[in-house]
Amino acid sequence: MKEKIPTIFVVDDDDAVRSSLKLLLKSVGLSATAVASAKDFLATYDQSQPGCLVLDVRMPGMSGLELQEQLNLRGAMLPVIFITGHGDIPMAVEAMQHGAFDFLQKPFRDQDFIDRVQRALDQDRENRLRLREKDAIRGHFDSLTPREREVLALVTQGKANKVMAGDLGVSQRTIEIHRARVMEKMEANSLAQLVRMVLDMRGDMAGA
Amino acid sequence: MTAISAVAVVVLGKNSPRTIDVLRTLAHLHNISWLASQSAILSRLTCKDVACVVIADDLEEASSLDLLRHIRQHKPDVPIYLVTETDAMADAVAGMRLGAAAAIEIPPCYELLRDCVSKALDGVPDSKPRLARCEP
Repeated sequence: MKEKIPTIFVVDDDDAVRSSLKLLLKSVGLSATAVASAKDFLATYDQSQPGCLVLDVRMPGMSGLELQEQLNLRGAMLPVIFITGHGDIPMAVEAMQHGAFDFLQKPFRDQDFIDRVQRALDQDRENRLRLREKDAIRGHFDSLTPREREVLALVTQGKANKVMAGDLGVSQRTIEIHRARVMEKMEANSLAQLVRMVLDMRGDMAGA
Repeated sequence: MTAISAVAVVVLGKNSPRTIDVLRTLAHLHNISWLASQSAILSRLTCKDVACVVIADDLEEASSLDLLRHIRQHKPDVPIYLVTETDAMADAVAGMRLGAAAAIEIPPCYELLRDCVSKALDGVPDSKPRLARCEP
């Protein structure tokens, strides 16, 4: 499948800011889309589109902070860089506590802005990669038979084949075959990797 | 077994007189350990009773942000509150990115600081973001 090109979404009610930021981003070869309101952005937002969001804090109608809240409710992973001409520390803290990637006060140097956008794009790439890995592990786990899941649970508890055979009332040879199938289906190269996968999955389920 | 009473570690920096009144008032309510050097702080953090850290200002030997980074490495679970200059937006944002629970403007609002420290000392999970703003 072809990877989508990351897009930088600029949401600002000020025409001049929108066009200048779009121009600046395009000048360094980045794909940018600009809209004038949070509502317009939400109406067209596609979670599968990689990139980052450059968001004005104060806008008529839905504010930048309210848009961030809406995106959080939707489980969006797009890194958000807030920009503001009238920001204060409490506002920045609030945005960061809600998961903003960065908070930038206008006026800012072009290079500072570009650097932050690049870092946000790196973060988004990393987040999406991690998510794909998690989905893959979940998919591998779903392909296990009930018996293989039992063996996986016992393996990750550190039990020896002989003990597992006793626990499940089967031969050691059967356990070895199940164990090999589990390693193969989970695409794990080592027991340590397998344990890490299971712990990650449990962590995700606990945090969900 | 004797229960360990939680302690808030307050890091005093070179410009701290501006915030000291607020912090002293806080000391009437809470068990506070006042420290003024990086080595003393890192050594104090090895104790299990530290519930939170308030970085009041830069130290002679380390900036607030460097100190925050160090403390984060040693005690990733302890909430850290960073007191910053009103015009130091970049520092506040950098502090938040480094893992501060909140950045609080100088002069710190007593109620806000008391709320942060009290919750940390009471062991209230810091899961809900708190508005770092003094309500009038």
